[in-house]
Amino acid sequence: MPKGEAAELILPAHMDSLAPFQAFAAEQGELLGMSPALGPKLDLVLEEALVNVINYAYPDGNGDIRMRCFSGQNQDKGLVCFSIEDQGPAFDPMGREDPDTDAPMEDRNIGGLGIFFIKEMTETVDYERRGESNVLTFCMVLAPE
Amino acid sequence: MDLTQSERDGILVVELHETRLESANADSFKTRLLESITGGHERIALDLSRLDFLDSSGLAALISGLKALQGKGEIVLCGVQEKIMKIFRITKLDRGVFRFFPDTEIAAAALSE
Repeated sequence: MPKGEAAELILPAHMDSLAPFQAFAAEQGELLGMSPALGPKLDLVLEEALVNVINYAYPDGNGDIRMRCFSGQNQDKGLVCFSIEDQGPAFDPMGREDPDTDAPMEDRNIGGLGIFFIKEMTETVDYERRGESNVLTFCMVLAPE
Repeated sequence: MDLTQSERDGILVVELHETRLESANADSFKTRLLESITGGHERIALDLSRLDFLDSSGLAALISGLKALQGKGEIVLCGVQEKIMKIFRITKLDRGVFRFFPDTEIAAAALSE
């Protein structure tokens, strides 16, 4: 699915890096032809994915996040794709069960909504353990109808 | 956490002045909300009209408030922008969980019924 060259940004896994990552993603997405209407969705997906890594990947607080942005294709749809990579312990966020959105309030879990949002708001999302790295890759349709 | 609270006919009206409710401030918001509930407020109208970004932490804070009420009261949401409404629709929290009103005045009237 991914194609073409990727732009890359590496920053420390700190909350201070969140805004620069979001700005980078928006800029690169725009260069690849991403519809401005996707901005709020992309912001949310990035926030969910990055905060997860910032909070859990590096218990000692020291480590980097590498974000890559590249174009992709899914059948006839052009995609903008982002991968988020960390060197923390293996963690597959896709392995979690989706929250039961039909459950009554008293039975609803408060957690687990972040990855659910990512799945709901992207065209594809994949996790891969690549060597010592966790790589979460998600793609969005460049110009949704 | 920038918010103001006032009481109107026994209803707590909370006006959130933040534009984002996210991981950076959700805990602080949740603390304020839970303090109000443990302080005895069971009917709360929350003005979210300034909000233009809500993530899972912010949503979890709202759900925590609802759970803390243990079915004895209600938190209603006011002035929610369309892009934020999508979050509630995806999670089906707009279906019998939270009620939504255009503003706190209408919400307070509904809560008084």
